[in-house]
Amino acid sequence: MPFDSFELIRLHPTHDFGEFSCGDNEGEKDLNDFLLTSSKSYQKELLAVTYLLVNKQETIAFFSLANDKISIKDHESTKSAWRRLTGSNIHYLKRRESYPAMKIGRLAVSHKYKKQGIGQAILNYLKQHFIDNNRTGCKFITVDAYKDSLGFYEKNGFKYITTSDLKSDTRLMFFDLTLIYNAIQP
Amino acid sequence: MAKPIKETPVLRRVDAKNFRREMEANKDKSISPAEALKIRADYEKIRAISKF
Repeated sequence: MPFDSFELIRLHPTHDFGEFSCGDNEGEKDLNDFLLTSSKSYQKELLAVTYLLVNKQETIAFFSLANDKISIKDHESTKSAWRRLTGSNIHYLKRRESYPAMKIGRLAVSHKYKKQGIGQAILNYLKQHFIDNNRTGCKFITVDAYKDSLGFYEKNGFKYITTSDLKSDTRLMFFDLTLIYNAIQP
Repeated sequence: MAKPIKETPVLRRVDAKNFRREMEANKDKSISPAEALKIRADYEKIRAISKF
């Protein structure tokens, strides 16, 4: 898919979306609704920022990003808390109870542009971006994925975060950026 | 009204165990050189049209 005529822009509060539809099933309708009715509110509340892939006035795709973290409470973290209190000098990586992440809150491609690799290109852009321009530390990309798109994220290396959302409309998944970082080390 | 973006829960028990195991396994793993090239190429393609 040639991107030469497209632009990637950050959502502006006065942006006119025009028409956008990524499809008609339940999840897709919700994604359309998110862009048209919620994306600006998330941005105004400083909860997520939406980016648009546009061709002149037409919205090709969008994605909304938020800061995230993956926190763990288990035997290891209990042990590490004790060690911290007692001043044990265990290596800092061993005692972490949370890891910085970036969440893809929503990502959708217009139905007119599906099956052209745009969604995957966006994921790859984000993966590399958070390696090359990782200004504050980000180890994982997380995503709140609709059921219909689980296969897409699996194909792109994402794993499930929890089994507690098996029956939910969306499932939380993560991608470990270490896999890319290791690949590009000399 | 669209569904809210779900928050990532604190991982406990089996979820915590699976996550730590996955993270540990990834320490020495990497994607293939071909995948790394594809990711880099897509990144450059979109970076070139980025307006912010």
